[in-house]
Amino acid sequence: MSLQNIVEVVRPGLLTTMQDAGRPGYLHLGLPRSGCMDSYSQNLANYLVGNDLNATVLEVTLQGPELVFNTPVNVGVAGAHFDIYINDILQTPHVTWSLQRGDCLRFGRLHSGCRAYLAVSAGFVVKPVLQSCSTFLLSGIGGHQGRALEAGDRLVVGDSSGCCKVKSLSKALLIDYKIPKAIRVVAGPESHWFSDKNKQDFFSEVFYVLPESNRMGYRLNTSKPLCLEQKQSMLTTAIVPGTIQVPDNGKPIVVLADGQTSGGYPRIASIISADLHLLGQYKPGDAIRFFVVNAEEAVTIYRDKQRLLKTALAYRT
Amino acid sequence: MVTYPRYESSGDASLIVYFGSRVDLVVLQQVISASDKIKAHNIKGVIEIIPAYASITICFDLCLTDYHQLKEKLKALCLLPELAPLPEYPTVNIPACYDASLGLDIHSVAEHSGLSVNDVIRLHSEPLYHVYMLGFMPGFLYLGGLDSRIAMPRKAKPRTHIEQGAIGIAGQQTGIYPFTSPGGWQIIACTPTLMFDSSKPFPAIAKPLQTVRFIPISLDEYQSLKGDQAL
Repeated sequence: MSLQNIVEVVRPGLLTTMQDAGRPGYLHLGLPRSGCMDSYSQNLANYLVGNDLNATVLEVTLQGPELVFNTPVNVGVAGAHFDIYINDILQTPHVTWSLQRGDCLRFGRLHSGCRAYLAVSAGFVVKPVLQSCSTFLLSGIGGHQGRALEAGDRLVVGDSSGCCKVKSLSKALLIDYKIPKAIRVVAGPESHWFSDKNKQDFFSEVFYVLPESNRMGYRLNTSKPLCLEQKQSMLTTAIVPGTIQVPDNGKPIVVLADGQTSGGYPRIASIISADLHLLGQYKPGDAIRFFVVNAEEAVTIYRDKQRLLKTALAYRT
Repeated sequence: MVTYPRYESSGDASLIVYFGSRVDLVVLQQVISASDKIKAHNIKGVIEIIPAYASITICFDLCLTDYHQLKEKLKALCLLPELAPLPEYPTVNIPACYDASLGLDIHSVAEHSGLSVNDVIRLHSEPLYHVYMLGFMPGFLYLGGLDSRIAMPRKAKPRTHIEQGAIGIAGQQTGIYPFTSPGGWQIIACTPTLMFDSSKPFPAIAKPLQTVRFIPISLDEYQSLKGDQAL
């Protein structure tokens, strides 16, 4: 045991879980994909430490952990903007930090966003469950013992001798979460069940993230609840992340990474794949606006974004 | 008049094929038969194939394919006359302990239906139930075939904590909670069987179209089976 490289959890933070690119392929068994709520920031964090961009990271929520490293390791953090201290010294964000044995990394105040991603060079060593290291809390699988981190946990990291070079993230890659952006959506299969007035409201009104929002889904509040022209019954179908359902109370629910895999509420719209990661940075109380694009645009936006990210985050050898 | 199969996009990275609009074993046969065919074809870019009561949702990688390309490929695979009936799978037996210490609402269900507790147990454990789909939670089976005499609406006030393995009734449905969770179903029994075991390559206990049956067991048997599982 003493030979292992360990990160010790001094304080766990509000909800810190291990996540990777998720567990696609099991929705037909009722198992959600899980994975990082903001995969874009996960990629940036992994880039900082020279990892595979989809490698397992710690997803930190609203209030971050305090970690002590018993091994020299490079660390990268991206996503929500927290003050980060190493041995009580405030760090410059968006660069690789080289930690020495015994160093303590602590998350401080949250300035913007909701979730930060912490990657370590050589990566976290965890046993995959159904091909993924993502934690899914409801079934208690994946990540560190299938649960959120707790004080006293000892996380094993790989051997990072021969560490990567120090890197930084270019400004063009960074997202300012203080400036609200409209989340782009495509119309959902049941959007025609809603009146034109309702649809108009959906695309012009501001929605607020309710406190009971989490990795399963975001519940949105509105002063103008959406209602169907006439109540129609719907047979249960599969639900995929990004789907915006409207239950009987007229307040939309966005299904996210750990969400239910089936449902029977009308789907007014779906968040486009390219924008889904942005949702992960909304916290309770934040305002959301939706903007509709057509399916062809959604495809182009996604492909362009993936291409740009790939180019920007290509490792120079 | 709607003709089936009907194709519709659902979000930018998934597509739904509808085979009907009602709960019907013939429709389900078509759904599962087409799902199997699509799976066997290993279509480029397809990430998930999710059958439901009367539809299949297919998720795809937007960098590798799109709605129109995929729809063209699916059309040949979802032709109704070519969907062969499927072989029957063996029935899955689910041990169920109806003791009131676990089946917290069994007396209320008996009262609501005007039957004795023994009748409720008999009517619940006699039929063969068909699995229509999996969803909601990992390993949760949507079952069809509940005797309408023991149907009962959900509880007005949902419980905040329902045990893993709890078997309940909600309207015309019966089902098993695969994991501890809040819920509003009328709980009449509990099973020691794990509904979702992630250490297995096929973690659920049954597939759509498969039949399941509840086998009444005593509290002692329940505890002993539960104990075996913990080992």
